[in-house]
Amino acid sequence: MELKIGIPELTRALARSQGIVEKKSTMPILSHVLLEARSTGELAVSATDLDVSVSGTHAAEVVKEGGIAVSARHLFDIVKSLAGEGKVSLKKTANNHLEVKAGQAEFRLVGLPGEDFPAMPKFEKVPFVPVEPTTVLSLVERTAFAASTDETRYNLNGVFFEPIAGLMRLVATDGHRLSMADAVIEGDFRLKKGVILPRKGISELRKLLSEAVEGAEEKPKGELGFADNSAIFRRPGVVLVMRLIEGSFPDYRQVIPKAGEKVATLGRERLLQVLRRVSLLSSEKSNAVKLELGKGNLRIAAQNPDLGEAREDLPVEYDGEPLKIGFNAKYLIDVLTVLHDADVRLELADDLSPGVVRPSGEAGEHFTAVIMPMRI
Amino acid sequence: MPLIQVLPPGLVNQIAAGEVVERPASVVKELVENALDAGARSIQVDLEEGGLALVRVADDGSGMEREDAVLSLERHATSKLRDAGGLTTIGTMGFRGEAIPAIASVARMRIDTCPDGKPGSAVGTRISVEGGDVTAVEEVARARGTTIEVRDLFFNTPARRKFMRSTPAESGHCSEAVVRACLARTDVGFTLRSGGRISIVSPAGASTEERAAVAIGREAARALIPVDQERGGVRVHGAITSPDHSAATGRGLYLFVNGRFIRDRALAWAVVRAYAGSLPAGRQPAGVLYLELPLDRVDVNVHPQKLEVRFQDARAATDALHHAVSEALRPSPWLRHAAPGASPIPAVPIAAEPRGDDVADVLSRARAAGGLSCETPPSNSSLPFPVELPRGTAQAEPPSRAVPGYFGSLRYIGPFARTYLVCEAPGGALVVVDQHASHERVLFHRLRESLRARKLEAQPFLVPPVVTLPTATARTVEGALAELAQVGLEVEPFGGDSFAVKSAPAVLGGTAMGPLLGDLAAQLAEAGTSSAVTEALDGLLATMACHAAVRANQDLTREEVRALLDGLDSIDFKARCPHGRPVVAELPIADLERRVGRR
Repeated sequence: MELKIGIPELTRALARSQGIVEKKSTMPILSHVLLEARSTGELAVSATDLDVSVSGTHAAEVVKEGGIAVSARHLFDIVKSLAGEGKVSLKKTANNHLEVKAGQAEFRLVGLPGEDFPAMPKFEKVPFVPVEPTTVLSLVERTAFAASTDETRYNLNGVFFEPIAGLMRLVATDGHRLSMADAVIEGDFRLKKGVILPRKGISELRKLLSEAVEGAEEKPKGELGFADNSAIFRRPGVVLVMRLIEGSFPDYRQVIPKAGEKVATLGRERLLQVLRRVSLLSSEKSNAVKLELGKGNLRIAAQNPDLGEAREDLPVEYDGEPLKIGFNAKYLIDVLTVLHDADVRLELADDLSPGVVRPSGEAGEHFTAVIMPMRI
Repeated sequence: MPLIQVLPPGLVNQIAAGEVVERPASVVKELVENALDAGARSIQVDLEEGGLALVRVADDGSGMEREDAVLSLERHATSKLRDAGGLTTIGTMGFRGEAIPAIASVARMRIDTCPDGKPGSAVGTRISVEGGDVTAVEEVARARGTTIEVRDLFFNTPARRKFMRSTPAESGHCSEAVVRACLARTDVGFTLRSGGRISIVSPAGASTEERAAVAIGREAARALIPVDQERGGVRVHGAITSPDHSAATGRGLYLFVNGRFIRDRALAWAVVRAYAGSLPAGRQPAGVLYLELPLDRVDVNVHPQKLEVRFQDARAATDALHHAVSEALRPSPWLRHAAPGASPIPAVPIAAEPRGDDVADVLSRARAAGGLSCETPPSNSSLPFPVELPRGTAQAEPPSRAVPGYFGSLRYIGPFARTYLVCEAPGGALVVVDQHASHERVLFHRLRESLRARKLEAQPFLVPPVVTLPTATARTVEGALAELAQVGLEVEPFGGDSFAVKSAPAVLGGTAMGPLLGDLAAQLAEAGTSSAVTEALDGLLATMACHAAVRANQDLTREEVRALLDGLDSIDFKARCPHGRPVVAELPIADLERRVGRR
């Protein structure tokens, strides 16, 4: 293998692999990236942890075909440190060494044979559905934060993807709160039921989507498909494959309350600021804040015997019965942060039943956050 | 001919011997207990070849008449129990009438006995038995009391004999049996001779501490702290080693229930728990603790060798033990020198007390604990400092004035290696305090108090996790639902051995519920108390404290050092960091003088 490639291009390719390679693994090759020079004048860079794999192709001046796997972190650090817009040449030498040359700098990296690298899954006949990266990114951003990090609840360690006639819906929950977003989509994924996308895969997907949205392309394009317990996202030059989480996602519809009788509408930005201020004095671990809803007024208070108390009133559109309820401020802040709407609706029933946050108006039909109150 | 037959009495006795007489030490135990039940004031035990060749137990107890002596060799013949009603109030060590015939059936035995009240004629009875058969009954000259000789144990059961360990090992087991009796009855004198050499002599009326020294060694005995408390009708007294001493096993911990030595993991665990992390990981305390409770609240008829008992209310027993030990340890009286003008340290009541909901109340309590305010503290568990505990229960004693405690009375000399605070104690000792570990302890204590002061906020689940437990632990959890709810863990049976966790303490957010509930259930099953939540919280707090504490290699100003030392005085378990490492080391002036050749 021998080729020349632009430093910025290679940096970008290797950056993608950094989130995927395993730093600690019993299989050393999983901390490596696979570099493959193809006769079509491309360099393919692949990384995998066996659950999530990403592979990108980049234009390069290929002198000789071939492949080699080298430590992802070291190659990335080297290429990052090479300044300028120049080119770097990569050459495989005897004993699986990779020679990296740029200007006067020369490196020889110990590598592993390319054939030892786990094969990237190949998918024929996958019913791909074109998706708009902007739409998918917005769905992911509004749900992924709620996924659980508790490894014992593996079925919550991801985002639930459910295609419903003409809609694509994402749901995530950590057991205490739930976030659900959907968007109109055309096409058929040919899925019999919903599937769970793993957290790590979702975070990689998010990177690729942001890359697409922020990229120079006028109208970014992408395709999503499902096959053999895997989800595949691809757009020109890059493919992401993630193994789905086996297990059943809880019946989320059951925990979403019917329209609550106590509905308050208030400014999102203002509420967010008040919560951030008041929760400064709530205990670090539980983040408990108390909400006192009255006619036209919402009072948010926090109390910590070690620190003191905080409270702030804010105007609200509400004329129902007064209600006192406790929440983990972080759960509210998380939701309000990912929304972009001017006003939100807070739907409550009583101090023990789950509360609902959604954008006011029509947007509220496509997003729902459910948060369990805290008993204070 | 029927297939089922009633076994001959000799065989029945041998089978019984299998349960009761396991090794020479069991013979020693049974015979010594009989002597104690006979009201002996002095007991002599002689062993040869670790008891396999000879066990002789001589006492000066009540002795037996000839007919009684012969009858004593019959199975289920006893003077200690009359009717079924008596079974519920057993105050004697034995009661089954099983030991003597069982031992007699597997050895060559000789009983010399003479009862009281035969004026003039000190004529006793001698009975010789071999393998259960009486070979001779004759008259013998004997003073009041009984001597039983057991020779050639297991001579007729070679299988059992093969399983005996070496002579020193068996001899060790025998002396352990005598030690237990020594501890159980300090009013009786004991002598143990093994192979002609005296190995234990303890006169009647020795103190618990003296006897404890025999059991756990002089070194450990020096670290003993007296314990004496009553709670829920259970009196706990005795002594327990300070965290300065610890052993790798729990064998140095002797527990007695109504004068009977027992093994009980739940009780032992209650003691270890009372050290609240002040013992190094995996180390066990030593000590002697007596639990006394009404006879009818304990069932001793559970274990053939009576090594286990059953409590009517096991929780009350473990609670009483736990509290007595933690109360004794709390003021950290093991710090060697007494502070000038022993200052009473108000202690904040531990978790079992009702948690204060009112912030003001809690703050005032915490302030009182800080040793700053002089108002009467609402707690009634303030303990005087240092060692002189009033026997009986701790008295309410309002702190009269703010007197410096151990750490407050130290004169700070300067830092050493930017990690240790070198101080001079009033008694003339060099004291070195680890700045990180001590600050960590102070912070840990404050965090814990502030957490206790607050109600534990419960965060209910929207999608409750379902935890499946092993059947036995599942039943335990089922029985403790109300208790779990008190610590913010609402658990609902979910069919079979599964449980749905409805809510969890908010501060434990993100903790995996499965392992937590599993630990909790295991502890409930073993100890009868649920400290898993408290422990999980303590673990969390210890980490928080560790991160917030001043580091080693960090320079502290004199004012900071003063505040740290004063802070240490106001907390419990001050001499240990939350991970069990000591925070302070003392070098008495005498040691120093010796080193520089002044002495």
